[in-house]
Amino acid sequence: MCRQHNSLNPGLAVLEALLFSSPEPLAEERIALLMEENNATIGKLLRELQKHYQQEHGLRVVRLAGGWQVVTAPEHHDIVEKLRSQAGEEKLRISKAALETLAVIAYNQPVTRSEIEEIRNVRCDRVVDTLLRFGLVRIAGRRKGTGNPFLYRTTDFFLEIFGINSITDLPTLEELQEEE
Amino acid sequence: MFEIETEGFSGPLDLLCELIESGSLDFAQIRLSEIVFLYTTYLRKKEELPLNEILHFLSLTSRLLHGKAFSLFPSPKNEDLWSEDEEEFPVERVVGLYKPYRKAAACLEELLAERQRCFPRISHEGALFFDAGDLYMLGMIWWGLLEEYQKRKKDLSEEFPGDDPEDFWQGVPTAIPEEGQVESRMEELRRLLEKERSLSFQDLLGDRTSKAFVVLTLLALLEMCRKEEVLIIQKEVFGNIHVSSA
Repeated sequence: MCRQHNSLNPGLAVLEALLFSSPEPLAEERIALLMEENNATIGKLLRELQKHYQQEHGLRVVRLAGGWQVVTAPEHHDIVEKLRSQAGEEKLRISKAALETLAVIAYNQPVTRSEIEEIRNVRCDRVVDTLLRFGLVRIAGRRKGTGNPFLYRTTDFFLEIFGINSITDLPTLEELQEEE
Repeated sequence: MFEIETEGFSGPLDLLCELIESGSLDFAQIRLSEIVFLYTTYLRKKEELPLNEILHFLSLTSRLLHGKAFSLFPSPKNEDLWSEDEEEFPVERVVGLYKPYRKAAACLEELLAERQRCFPRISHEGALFFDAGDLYMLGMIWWGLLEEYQKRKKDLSEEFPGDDPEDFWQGVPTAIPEEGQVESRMEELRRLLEKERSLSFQDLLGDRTSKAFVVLTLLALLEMCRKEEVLIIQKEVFGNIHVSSA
């Protein structure tokens, strides 16, 4: 028998279907276009759905990489991870050097490789290549000047992987410096 | 505290650096390999690896190495080597500058761990990923230009039915050199070097001395050098360049 208190209004149900069917975060604007509604209404519906999922559900609606996504609740992590590892899925592992290089790019973007190396005081070509290969950073043009070096930026995939909505969600360098 | 006992000097390493940098001691009198040997012996005896101390040691020895390397070259102003800025080049400043980024990396690590506790739905197709970066932008420009070209061609043929619309592009310079030209020039150079194993750059140019051709030849030679096909030697600054098959 259906549990009446869990039923959603039609708008929320459509929204739920859209988020479920998308393997990547869906931007509010895109949902608005699909549902032929204005952004404000969609924003309101999304927050309502997010609230709904926080009660008695094994899923969560989260905001990341400039969009919204349905993910499993963190408290069920252990059991879902078992399933995922049985399916042969591996966790993305990022080395310390790669994380530090990513941090330098994230806080200084757009940035050239020599600027990254100036901050890190070590050569970063291989790390940057790896980050490019994994789609965590991208080439965002060239700096005008000697050699016209490539400029690097973090990608939406970076935001997705780290579960942040935008780069401004990260603490500032000043805030990090104060944290002693 | 690590102290050096060597011929001509006895005392801490920073004092040695100061004496050398102030000119009171000659670089030639100090053997860096001996200092490194003494330090590794000292560390082995100590049976621990104090990171800050090692960092300090590396900083001081790299200053010595830097100075020693410079002393090998004829330098009119050796005193410029230790300018005000460099004297005040503390490791702490470099470490201090980098410290917030290390914290940021730790913060990213935490975020990643937190994020990895939540799983999105599996997509069998996988997200499309273009490792193109610049190419995407170039593609956009290219299609934009093509569209503009076709539009103008159409407009011109409507406005001046008798004229050739291609004339409109007269005066627009051709991109020189482009990849195809470099490759065909490389082929030419290979043929020339097959006949004679060693040639000067001037021989390679012949009477074609336009700027574009010189650039094209240089690019082709650099590419061949990268592929280890040729050896390029210039014995003196502004001297003739000799190219030989590798």
